[in-house]
Amino acid sequence: MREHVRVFVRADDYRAAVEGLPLAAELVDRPSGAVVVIDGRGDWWRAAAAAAADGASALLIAEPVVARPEAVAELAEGVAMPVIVNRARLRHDLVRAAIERRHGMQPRVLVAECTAAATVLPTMVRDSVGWLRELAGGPLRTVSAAVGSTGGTALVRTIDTGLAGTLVITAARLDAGGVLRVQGLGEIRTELELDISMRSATLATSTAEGRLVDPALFETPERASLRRAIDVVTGRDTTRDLDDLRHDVELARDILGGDLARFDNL
Amino acid sequence: MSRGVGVIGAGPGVAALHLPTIARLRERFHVAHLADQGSGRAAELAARLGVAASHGTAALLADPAVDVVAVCSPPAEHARHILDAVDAGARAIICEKPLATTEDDARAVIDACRRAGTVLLVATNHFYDEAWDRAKRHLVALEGEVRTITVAAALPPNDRYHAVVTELVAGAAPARGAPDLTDRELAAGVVRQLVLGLAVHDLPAVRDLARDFQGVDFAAAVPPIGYTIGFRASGVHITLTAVMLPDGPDALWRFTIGTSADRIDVEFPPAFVHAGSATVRVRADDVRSTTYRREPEDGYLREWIALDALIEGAVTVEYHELLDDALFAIRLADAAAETVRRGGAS
Repeated sequence: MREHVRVFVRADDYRAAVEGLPLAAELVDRPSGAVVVIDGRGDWWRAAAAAAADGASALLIAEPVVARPEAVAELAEGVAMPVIVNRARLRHDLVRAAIERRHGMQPRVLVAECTAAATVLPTMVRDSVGWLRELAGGPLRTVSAAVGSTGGTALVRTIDTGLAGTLVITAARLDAGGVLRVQGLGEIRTELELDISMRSATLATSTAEGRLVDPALFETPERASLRRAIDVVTGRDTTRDLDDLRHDVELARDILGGDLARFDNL
Repeated sequence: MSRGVGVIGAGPGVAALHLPTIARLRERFHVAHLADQGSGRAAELAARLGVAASHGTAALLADPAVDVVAVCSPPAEHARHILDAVDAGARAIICEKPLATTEDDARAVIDACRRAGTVLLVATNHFYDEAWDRAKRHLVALEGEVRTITVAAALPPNDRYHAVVTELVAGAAPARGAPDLTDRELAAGVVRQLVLGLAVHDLPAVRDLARDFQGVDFAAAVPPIGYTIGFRASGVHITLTAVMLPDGPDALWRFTIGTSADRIDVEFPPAFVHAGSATVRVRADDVRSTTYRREPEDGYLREWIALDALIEGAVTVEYHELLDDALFAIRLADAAAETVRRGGAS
C-alpha cells in the first residue's frame, strides 16, 4: 500500500478533494511535511511564504487573485519546494489535452477573447495570456496594446518564433465569471470556450477529417490540482506553475498599461 | 421580367458563385453575355449556357441583351470597368468587392454613377445576410453599447466548395502561393491586398457599428497568407484575423460583437455554398445563451435580390454609403500596410 501524502488545508472544497483521494492523501493538522493548500484570495503570496517557512513539502495555490508581478517573483525566488497553482480557467488537464490534440503542429495565429465584469477582467486577461502562451508553445512579449476603460486589444508574439496572437478584452455586465474563448487557427484548429457562469468548458479540435470535441471534465478543479500536487511530490510529475504565473501576470500588467484596476466597474 | 446580365470576368468567383446564384433567380435575372481578358474561360462558360462570349468589355457593353453589368474582374480593374459600363449607358451594375482600390477611383465611380443615375450595388454578401439583420435587431433591443468587434477567419482552399456548387475545368482555380512575409514591403502589399479582397467582406458591417475610422494599433502578416489587424473606429476596438491555408478543416468565419451586456456571434457558412444564412448566437448577461436558426436564403441570393429591388425603384441607391464603405476599407488597408512596413505597431 503506498504512503499517503499529507495535506494541510482549511477550505471545505479542498477537504472534499482530499476525501476524494482516500488512497493517496490524508488530512493533517500541521503544515510541516505536508502539501499546504493556500487560499488564493488576499495576500496569498505572504501566506505561501509562511507555509514554506513552516516546512511545507509543497504549496498548492488555489485560484490566486491577480498579484503584483514583483510579489510573485519574490515568492518564486524565495521558495525551494514545488509550487502548484490551481487556475480553474487554465486547468492543467485541459491545457494538456488541447496541446496533445495538435500533434505537435503549431497554429498559424492565435486569437483570444475575454469578456467579463470589471472586477474579474484582470484575472481573465491573465488567464487568456496563459492560454496564448500554452498554445503558442513559449513565452510571449507584447508588441502593441490599446486598452481603455471598456476594453481593448493587444498583439503578442512568442519570443523565440514570432508566432502572433491577438487578445480582445471586453468589459461587460456579465454575471460573475465571464466568458473566455481561445482559437488556434491553422491546418489543425483548436477552439476552447470557457463559460464560467454556465460552468461549461468545451475543447474542440478540427482538421480536414472533422471536428473532435473532448469529453467534459467532471473532476473538480480542486481534486485535479491536488492529484497533480501529489504526483509532483511523489516524483511522477513536475511543475513550472509559478514561473508561468509570473510570466502571465507580467504580460497582463504590460497589456493593461500597469493598471490592473483600469476597467469601469459596471 | 428576367433581366439579362453581362458578366465581366470568368474566374471561379463567376463560375462557382454568381452563375449558380443567378440560376437560382431565373425569374429576375439570366446570364446574357460573358467576357474575359483573353483566358478563354468566358467562352467555355458561355457555351454551357448558350449565350454570347467576348474578350474585353466593348462587345458586352454594346450587347442589347445586357441590362445589368456584373463587374467580376480583378480588383484593380473594378473602377475602370464601372466607368466603362456607365459610359455605355448600363442601367445597373453589381460590382464584386472592393468597389475600388484607391480613394480617387472610389470617388470617381460614385460620382459617375450618381450623375448617370446608374444603380450600383457592391456584392458584400455578409452584409446582405439575413443573420446580420437579426444581429442588429438584437443590438437595438438589448441597448448594449458596442465595445469590441472580433472577426476570425481560417479558410481552406476554395476548390472544395467550388466542387459542391459547380464543375470547373482543371486549372480554373489557381493554387495559392506563399509569399515571403519576412520582406516587410512585400508583407505590407499582401496585407493591403487582403484587406481590400478578404477583410472587405465584413467592413460594411463593421462600419455599420463603428462608423468613423480612427487608426490602426497593430498589423501583421500571418503566414502562409493572412493578417491580424487591430484598429479603432468610433471608440470601438476591432480586430480582424484571417489566414488562408493550404489544407485543414472547413472554413471558420466568425464575426463577434462584444457589448456592455452580451456577446453576439455571427458565424458564416463557407464561401460559395448555398447553405442558408449565417447562424447567430447570443450569450446574454442574464446567463441565457440563444442560438437562432439559419434562414434559407444566403447572402449571395439576397444581394442579387437587393439589386432587383434597386432596379425596380423599391429602394434608393445610397451612393454616399457606398462611397463611405469604400473609403473606410481603403483607409484601413493603407494604414495597416504602413503599420506592417514599420514593424507591426503604431
